[in-house]
Amino acid sequence: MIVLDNLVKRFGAITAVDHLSLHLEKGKIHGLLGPNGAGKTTLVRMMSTLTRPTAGKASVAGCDVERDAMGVKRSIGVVHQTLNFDPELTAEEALVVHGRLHGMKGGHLDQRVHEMLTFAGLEKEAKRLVPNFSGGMKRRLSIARAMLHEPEVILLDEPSVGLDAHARRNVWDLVRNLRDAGRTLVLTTHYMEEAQALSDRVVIVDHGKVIGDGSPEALIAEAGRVAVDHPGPSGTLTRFFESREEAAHFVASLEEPATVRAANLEDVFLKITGRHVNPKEQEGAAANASRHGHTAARKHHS
Amino acid sequence: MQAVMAILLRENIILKRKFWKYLASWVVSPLLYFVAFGWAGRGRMVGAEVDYAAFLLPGLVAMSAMTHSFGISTEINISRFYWKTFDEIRTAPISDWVYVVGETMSGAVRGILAACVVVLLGLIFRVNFAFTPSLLFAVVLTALVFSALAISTAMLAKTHADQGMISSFIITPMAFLCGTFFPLGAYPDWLRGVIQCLPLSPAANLVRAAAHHQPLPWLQALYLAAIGLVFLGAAMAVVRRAKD
Repeated sequence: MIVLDNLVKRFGAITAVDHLSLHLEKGKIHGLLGPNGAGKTTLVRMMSTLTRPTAGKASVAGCDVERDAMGVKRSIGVVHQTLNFDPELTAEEALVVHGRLHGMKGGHLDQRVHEMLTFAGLEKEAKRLVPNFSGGMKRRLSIARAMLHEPEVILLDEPSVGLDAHARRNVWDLVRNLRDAGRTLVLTTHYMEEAQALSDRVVIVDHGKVIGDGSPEALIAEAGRVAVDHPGPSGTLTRFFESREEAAHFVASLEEPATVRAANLEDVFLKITGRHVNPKEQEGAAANASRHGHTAARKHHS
Repeated sequence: MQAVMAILLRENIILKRKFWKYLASWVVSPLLYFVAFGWAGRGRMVGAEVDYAAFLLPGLVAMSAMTHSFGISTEINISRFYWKTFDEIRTAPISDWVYVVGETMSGAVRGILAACVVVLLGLIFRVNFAFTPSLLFAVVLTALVFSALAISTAMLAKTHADQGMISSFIITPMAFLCGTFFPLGAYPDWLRGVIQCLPLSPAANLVRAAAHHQPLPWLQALYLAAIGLVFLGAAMAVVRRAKD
């Protein structure tokens, strides 16, 4: 469905995407996971024809992004990272304008607008101006807009950034519904929880390159299913083990308190790169773990 | 054509929602110019063939058509830099010319409405002024030309502040130099030659001729239309380049 072949994008001296190749299958949610600046958004912008590749090839739904940009545009719906709505338009008007830009008209357009507003749970808000919406409502409207013209592929660039937990769950439900309806989804995120919860396949990107690729379970299994966080000379260290028994063995040998937990995609990234996807969030989590996790680890091993 | 109408629909909804603000801006400047130069200075101009108010009003009509159709550049830049809605249009399956034509028409609508407001002011002030099809032609052509220019400059601007500077360098000098307030006869020959090449000069001449029942200067109309086509071509080129 989406083929990226040796794709490169340079902005002056900076290489945002570095000879990246991928083949993304139909009907799945593909999570592009990586820290800020990894090249995820640039990838999505190239897939959506907004940015021209410096080198390499990319095709979406069989259409080359450079030679058949119009074909690509007909096949995709894009949920942009920024909640980009005209402040003077109501939710309904925003969808109508989008539909007309995609060649829709008349009763069919009216019907699709109604269907998509219902899909996003915004049917009662149709006549409200978009600036009066909450962030979560705008994001749901953005997904409804991307779906309006029934594209085969939906590109979602950080769809839950800036949303609270409840709104994020709502967006996740919508994304799952789209996959269940047979759409192919590409989702960029720097939230490992989101990538893990939604993706059938996770592609970990760093410095414009693919550094991990597989189902969340397979990637975690490869890294080690159990993680142990323990104090080291320069901060918290994490070790990975195949089983809780191995982890318990290791913790018993430590003099300092440690936390035993199930490994996640953040750990996969950490193991491959030696860095966290979200360093600041991780610092907070580590501080939390050292406050609350100590007892849990000791109890586990007592 | 349907996609052009979609661009127009979007801009016209925005126009409808902000109509009273727009109306105020269409009224205030020409009214001030009219009171300051037309009323206070009535009958004092040397060398004009008509009453000064009758000379000034067509100039103000052309200037309003220029200024407010060029104003679409501000809307476009707000869309690009602040609301980010330009990306939404760029991912729609429409060609560059559809976008350029749609925005040019949207800008022209604003310019034509603003020019109509000035004509209404002329009625209120009882200025000797003819409403002819030629006048409508002159106003529409002027509005289309400056709207096309607006698309080019909007895409060239890297920030919203750049747009203000572009307006200061392009629109403001034309507004004061191109025969809006005074006939060009007072300028030295070399400067008059330069000014006559600027697009507001033929625009003001066209409007003035139409408003005074004089034959339209068709060569100037052709020249203005040619400039408009150059601006349209430039707009197409910069919109294509604006992808990155």
